[in-house]
Amino acid sequence: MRRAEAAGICAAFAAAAALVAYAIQRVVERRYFPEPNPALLIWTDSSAFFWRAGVSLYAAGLGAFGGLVLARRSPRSAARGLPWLIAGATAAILAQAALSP
Amino acid sequence: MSLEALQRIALLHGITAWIAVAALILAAAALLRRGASPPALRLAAVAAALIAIAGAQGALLEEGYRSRLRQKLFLQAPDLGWLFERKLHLAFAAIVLASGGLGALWAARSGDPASRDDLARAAKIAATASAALALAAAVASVIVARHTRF
Repeated sequence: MRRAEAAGICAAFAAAAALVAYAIQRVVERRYFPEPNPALLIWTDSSAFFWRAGVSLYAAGLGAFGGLVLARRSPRSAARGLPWLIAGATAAILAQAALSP
Repeated sequence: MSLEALQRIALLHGITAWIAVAALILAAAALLRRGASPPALRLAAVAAALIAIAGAQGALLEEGYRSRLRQKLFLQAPDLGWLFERKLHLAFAAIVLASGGLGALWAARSGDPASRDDLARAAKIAATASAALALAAAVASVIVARHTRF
């Protein structure tokens, strides 16, 4: 497998992993670690959004490695699964944004 | 950051975001019509760069939003507050999908012919989703900005 193809597949797997991680984080946050009512919260020194984005980027790195391993072992499987992965990750983030903003 | 600086960055962020939305829509259209072609790849790269720049500008505004606007927004119009929270999620997703779609498109152009169709399909899904989410985020921002701004 050529390096450019592997890099592209890694980026796509990374994107899917980042989206799924973000959606899971937000759902867990809202369900188990609810923040105070934003209408009553004057200020907070930490940004939940930046934390979620940072953790999602970490998960993206994991996804990239996973994608690379799969692409090296079975390029056809990696390519065949990618559209489903991207569609599934998009559906996950849409469901999270709609139901658990 | 001063209020004036926030206002300037917010204006720039709005302009960049809408240009990025247009670029994403063009890139998705080019991909859907012409497949994994060089013009589609160039458009996708430009669109991904623009949405990333818009995201970086938004990141600069986040602290100002959190300290100056968020409580006010939720007190006056909680529905708009939650709409803006949704906008943040959609904007993040749009940026990530634009990058992922570009990666899939790059792989489709460079890769083995047996995988090309699947990779191009992944790129089309990512590009279309990114354009749609970016548009939704931009519209949500305009709705909220009409009520509350720096």
